[in-house]
Amino acid sequence: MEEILDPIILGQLLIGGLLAGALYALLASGLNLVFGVMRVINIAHAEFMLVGAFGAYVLYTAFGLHPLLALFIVVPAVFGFGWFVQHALVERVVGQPMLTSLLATYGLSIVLLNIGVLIFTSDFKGVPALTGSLVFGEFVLPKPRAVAALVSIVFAVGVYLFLERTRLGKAVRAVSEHPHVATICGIDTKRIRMLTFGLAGAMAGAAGTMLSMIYSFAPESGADFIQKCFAIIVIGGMGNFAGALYGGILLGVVEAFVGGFLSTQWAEATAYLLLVLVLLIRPTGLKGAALAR
Amino acid sequence: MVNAVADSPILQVFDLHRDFGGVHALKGVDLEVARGSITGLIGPNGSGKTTLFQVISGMDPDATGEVRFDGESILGRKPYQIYHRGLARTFQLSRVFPDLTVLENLVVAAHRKDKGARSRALELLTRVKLQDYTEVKGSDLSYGQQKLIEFLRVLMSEPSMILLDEPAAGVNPTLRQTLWDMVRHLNGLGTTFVIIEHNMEVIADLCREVYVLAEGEIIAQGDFAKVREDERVLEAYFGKRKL
Amino acid sequence: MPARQIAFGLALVALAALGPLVGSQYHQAFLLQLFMMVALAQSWNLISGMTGYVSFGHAAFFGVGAYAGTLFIQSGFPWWLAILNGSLIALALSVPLGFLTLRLRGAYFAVAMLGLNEVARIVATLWVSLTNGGSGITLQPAILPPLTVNYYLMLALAIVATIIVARVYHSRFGLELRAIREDEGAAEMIGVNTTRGKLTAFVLSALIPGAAGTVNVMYTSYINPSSAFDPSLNIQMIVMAMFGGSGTVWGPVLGASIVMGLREMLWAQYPALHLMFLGAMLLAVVLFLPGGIISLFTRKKVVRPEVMSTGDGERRG
Ligand SMILES: Nc1ncnc2c1ncn2[C@@H]1O[C@H](COP(=O)(O)OP(=O)(O)OP(=O)(O)O)[C@@H](O)[C@H]1O
Ligand SMILES: [Mg+2]
Repeated sequence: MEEILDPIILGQLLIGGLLAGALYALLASGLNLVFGVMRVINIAHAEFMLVGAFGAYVLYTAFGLHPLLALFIVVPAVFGFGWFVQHALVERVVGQPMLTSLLATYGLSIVLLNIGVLIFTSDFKGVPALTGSLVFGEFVLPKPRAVAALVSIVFAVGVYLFLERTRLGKAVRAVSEHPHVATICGIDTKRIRMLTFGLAGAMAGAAGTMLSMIYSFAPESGADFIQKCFAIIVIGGMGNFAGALYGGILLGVVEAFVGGFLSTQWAEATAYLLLVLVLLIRPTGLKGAALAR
Repeated sequence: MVNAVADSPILQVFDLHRDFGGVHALKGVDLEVARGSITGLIGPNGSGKTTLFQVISGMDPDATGEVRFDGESILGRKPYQIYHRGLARTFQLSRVFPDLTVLENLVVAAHRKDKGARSRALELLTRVKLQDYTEVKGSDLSYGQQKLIEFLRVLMSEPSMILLDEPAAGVNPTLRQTLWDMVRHLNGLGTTFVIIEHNMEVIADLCREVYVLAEGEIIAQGDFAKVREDERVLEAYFGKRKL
Repeated sequence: MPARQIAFGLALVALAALGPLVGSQYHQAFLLQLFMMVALAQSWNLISGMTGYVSFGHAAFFGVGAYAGTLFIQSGFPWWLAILNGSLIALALSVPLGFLTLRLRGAYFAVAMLGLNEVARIVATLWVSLTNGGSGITLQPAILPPLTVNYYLMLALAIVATIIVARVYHSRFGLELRAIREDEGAAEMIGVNTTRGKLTAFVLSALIPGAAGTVNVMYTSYINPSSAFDPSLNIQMIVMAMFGGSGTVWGPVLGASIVMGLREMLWAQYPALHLMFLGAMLLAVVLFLPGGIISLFTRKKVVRPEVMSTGDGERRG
């Protein structure tokens, strides 16, 4: 017990948690973006992430491309994929009862997952492109994790600034907050929705590319991550982009401590327990945000 | 019914406030509805009329103030509790259940223990000449018919008071007449009504008492003939006499 | 319930009851699985089909019930008590969970149910003293009833589940649930206690999976965390209910029969392909035939009398 209360170990756990949290934040804010704009919970979101991860894996094993460079191919590709999925599938269920969109994206996630199994089998893969650690005094930062966190933050903040500062981003927010008004104001809401889904896909793809450097993953790995995402968006408030950023960091840190104090297996259950806890004490999320009707 | 005093107001609203993050939809509304009356609630678009109904009917729990129905405080009660106490309301935009049949739409709104729900539903449908529509799905009705069904739906519980939010909007003249006739008929039997309506002729025709809401405040009340001459009402409707 | 449907149901039951007399071991095993899926799809139907609240985690009730039943049998209780126990433990899980998530509108329920199965699996793996962890528990075949008994038990569960759905569907309570599915706010406004309705439906929907879990272990005589909390079970029951027609009495029966038949004929050897097809079927049904197969038979011609002059032209889009 004394060992674990050692400030160095606590600090190390905190750092680990923050680094993982940055990745979660990127992933979950994409999910929340889609929910905010079209009231659709994309259950296949984690599979989009894995499309990115496997993309990075293929580029690395086939062409030796470093994941940081692979970003430039993977992110636009998953953006396009998201755009297409919105156009071909999700657009049909927008505005329909929650049951419809939930089941549609659930079906999509099953399809993607099993295509993954057919192509890559269920064996775990990894992209060991980056190794080594940065050492700051007593603290150690594994390089891949540090880089992944940095890239995640850059992406998430970039999208945040896009939403806040640019005309197009403001249009996205207008559709999210006042869909009817947005239509009246001449915003092409369909285009905005495709852009949004593409953007969320791109964020998931970036998260996946980063993930490939730090975790081993299989087509079935999505289940864990979507669970984390759900906990995060409930913590941060459904549909609240910035809330998901905080929620992601929070989950990362809590998981790290649970892993440190108990076991990594309990850390896997942390997201769910946190979700239940939040529903118990503050049902509409810690950052009281727009509630799904 | 245990109405202590038959001529006590059926509904009293005191100092009602509702704030939508910056938009003050209701700013201290006071209102009193006489038992057995038809009261009009008018005001420009966005003045807070629907919001007031939302609060009274329990759909909007975030308001502050006081609402008394039949002498008892109902603010904070759940909508279904308020409904079973005898206060019903309809929606501005029709909300029939699209996948239920017309008959089911009505029956589901009756009190649970009510054994005569089916026959009363048929009777109501007959009265508006929709008796052949019992098995038609809600979504297959025209919009006007949907609004009428929504009105009939709340009648299933035989409420003592009904709030109608623009019941005639989008309804054709024939059905509209049917609707107002029923309102008069039920009022004759003792049902109290509060009606939001933009057509002033209807208001003049039906309502003894009128409340005017503008930007979340009651700016005038009383006899319609008197209210329509009120300076503040004209200003609220037409701006600074620019017309 | 219409007499024709009752007659149809009785005929099906009679046919199924003949199974062990005429069918081989293989046929019995297949039908037992089919009954299990009917029972599960109907349970899912009760909450999700009726109220529109999607449960992605019903397999958790199956798994929790399976463990509860197994432990009872292992401690020497008779199997019928074990089945009851499986059911009750599933119920005990559903009450707090439903209370937590169903007071809220929107997607909270779906989000909470999606993770439930996985967390239950983790707990079952970690709680070694109770569950023997990942190595699982094997029951001595000697203390278990023979295949034929399990067959009839599973058949009984399928029948009970279908009867519950039918009773609910044709009741005032079922009408309220469907109103919740169509427009929860409006339902509450016309006097429906929506929270109580949803919670009741949910708790009812957990009972049968709990019992089915126990019977399934009695049949396979083995349980471990990944067999009890198999995520593909969720997929299967959802696809079957949706494919047949959710929110109806016979849809899940039809859906389970078709999907199980296809699986047996085409996909049994290719698990990934099988699941991929299930996902694609779900997508296709949700997008193109939301009422399921059964809507092809029951879709009434729109009985919209044109004679009346009440129509006012405009229609809702
Ligand atoms: N849920 C809400 N969130 C934010 N603002 C709202 C909400 N509901 C109403 N408002 C605002 O409150 C004000 C009053 O709206 P309300 O619907 O009560 O007006 P109304 O008098 O019924 O208008 P109309 O005649 O057009 O129906 C408006 O400014 C509206 O934009
Ligand atoms: Mg209004």
